[in-house]
Amino acid sequence: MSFNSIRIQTHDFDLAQEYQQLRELSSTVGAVVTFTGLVRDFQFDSSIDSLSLQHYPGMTETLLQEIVDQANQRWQLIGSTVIHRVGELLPRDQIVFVGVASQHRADAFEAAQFLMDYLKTKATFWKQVSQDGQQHWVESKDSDTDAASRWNSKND
Amino acid sequence: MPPQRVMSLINLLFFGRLGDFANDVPATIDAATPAEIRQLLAADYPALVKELSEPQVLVSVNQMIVGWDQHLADGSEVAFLPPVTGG
Repeated sequence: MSFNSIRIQTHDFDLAQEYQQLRELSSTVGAVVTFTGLVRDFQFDSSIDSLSLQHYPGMTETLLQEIVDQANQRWQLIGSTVIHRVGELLPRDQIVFVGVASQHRADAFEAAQFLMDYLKTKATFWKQVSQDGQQHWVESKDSDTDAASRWNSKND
Repeated sequence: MPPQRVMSLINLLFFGRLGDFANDVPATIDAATPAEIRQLLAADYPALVKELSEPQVLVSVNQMIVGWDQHLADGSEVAFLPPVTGG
């Protein structure tokens, strides 16, 4: 059984604390890969005022758990942490964290990418941007779908 | 006595951009499938139903992604999900 932590929260997270938790899981941890996503301060070449994150409580946690379970089946992982913030966020805020601990680096690198690719295309989050006093929903990107689909042809 | 159709009261949820089109939609509806919900809303909410008919829109029943012909039990929670944009 590997360690898995999935958190959806409004408050910020501390990168050093998350890294430390993964590092200390076991004496066999030889690699920790972390990814932090930030709120970009522009969209369509103009700066944004804020970002609002909506999600489907309950379903989001279930879907993230499924994604983490898949990562554990594909790679040898000692532990993983997935944090996604919801609610109102400002440019440059931290929005998402994925951390993976494993014995060897290849597992941690690949699993972290897989978790982010699947999170972006499968987990029930929706972004709304406030820009020049107007709100609009962010459109999904084909590049994200392409990034996720590359894992279909591997190991299946 | 003619057979009586059992009433299925379904709770409706609309996420992301779909919510903007669903402000006045009732919270519950009597329907047998998600496809029927879409048909029932067509007359009063044409803009919403146009959005719901986009092929990328997914439907879930009790937080599981299902097909549009999924049979709905009384008290089910049906959510309409536009393409996700988290991360």
